[in-house]
Amino acid sequence: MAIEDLTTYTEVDPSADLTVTAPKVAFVNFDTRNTDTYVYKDQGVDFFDGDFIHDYEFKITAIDDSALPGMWMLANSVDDILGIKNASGDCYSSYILKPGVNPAYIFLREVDGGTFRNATGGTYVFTLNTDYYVRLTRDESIGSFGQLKQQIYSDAARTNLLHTQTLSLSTSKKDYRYNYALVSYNSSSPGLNAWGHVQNLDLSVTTFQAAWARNSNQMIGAGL
Amino acid sequence: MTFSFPADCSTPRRRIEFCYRAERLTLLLHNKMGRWYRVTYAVTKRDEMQARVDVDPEDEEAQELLVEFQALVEANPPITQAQYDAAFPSGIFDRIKMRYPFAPALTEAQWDDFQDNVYDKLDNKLQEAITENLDLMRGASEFMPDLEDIHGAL
Repeated sequence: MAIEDLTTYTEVDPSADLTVTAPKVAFVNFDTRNTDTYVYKDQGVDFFDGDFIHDYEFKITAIDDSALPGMWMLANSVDDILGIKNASGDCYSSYILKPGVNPAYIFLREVDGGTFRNATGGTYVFTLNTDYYVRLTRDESIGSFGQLKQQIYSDAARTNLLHTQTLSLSTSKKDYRYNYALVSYNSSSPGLNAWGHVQNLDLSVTTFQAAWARNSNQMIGAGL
Repeated sequence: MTFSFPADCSTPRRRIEFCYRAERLTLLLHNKMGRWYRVTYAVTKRDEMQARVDVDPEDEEAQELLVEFQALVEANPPITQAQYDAAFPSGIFDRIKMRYPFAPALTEAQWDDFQDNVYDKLDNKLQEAITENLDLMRGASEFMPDLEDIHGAL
């Protein structure tokens, strides 16, 4: 387990809404739908291939109606979520939306060649000022193109599961280059703000089975 | 692993309802197992932090986390046979009890085994069944009324 040092990430923050420290991106008055704002890292072409497990944590302390802060995201270009969609790009994004006066929820979505595809399992309405612990798991052995699962827990040990959202991945198996710790959804709609933080992004989570599978593949690759 | 529906779950909608109920049950099972594993997790983390503090008594982060994990240990005491029996009543949990017999704490290896070989597999099967039946439901006549069928109301 290795928490990402977010000070090594690239911060694009035209409105100075973010404060980035090693484990955390804190945001105040984050204008979620009016700027291209993100904290991302170029991990190299096709870095995110095959199966993976990623963890992160979030807490939202306040959010305006219709605000939409994206959190964890994988993509092959540097842009906001809507920018990637409009450029017919691909990405996976874990994001929050407060639909009008209704309570805010967390959701999982794929942009596949510019088309949004939603996870099954529904949205998860969360409570403000509460820490949530998220795990994202891609398993390419399921279905034609793999499956991406988002699990939301109430504890850091990830033993108390609150909700699961599942996305059957579409069209092709995709490898990704960039990961984001925070990202906007720029629809040129000013004043839709969010307050809170994301932290403890871990791209190297493993379980016994995943480690065994990876070691086995390495051994096979090494001709053993 | 095969997945079969009860005989009276004959339509896509009933099968989806069945899957959503089954999901609630697997979630409940996950969290029972999670509570059992937290005994081990809390002690392991507390001991890790204690070791850090022993090496460097000035390590403020470790001191803070030590207090946090000590509280977690106290909030998650080892489970008793009576708690185990109450959490996993005979009948629907027999296979689980056979795979994970009573112990005061679930080990990390057992927790990983449960997540990878029990929970994830069950959840994936249920998701697969939901997706298949959603696809069937989209084509079912009950969700695709034909205007000709309701002309009698005019």
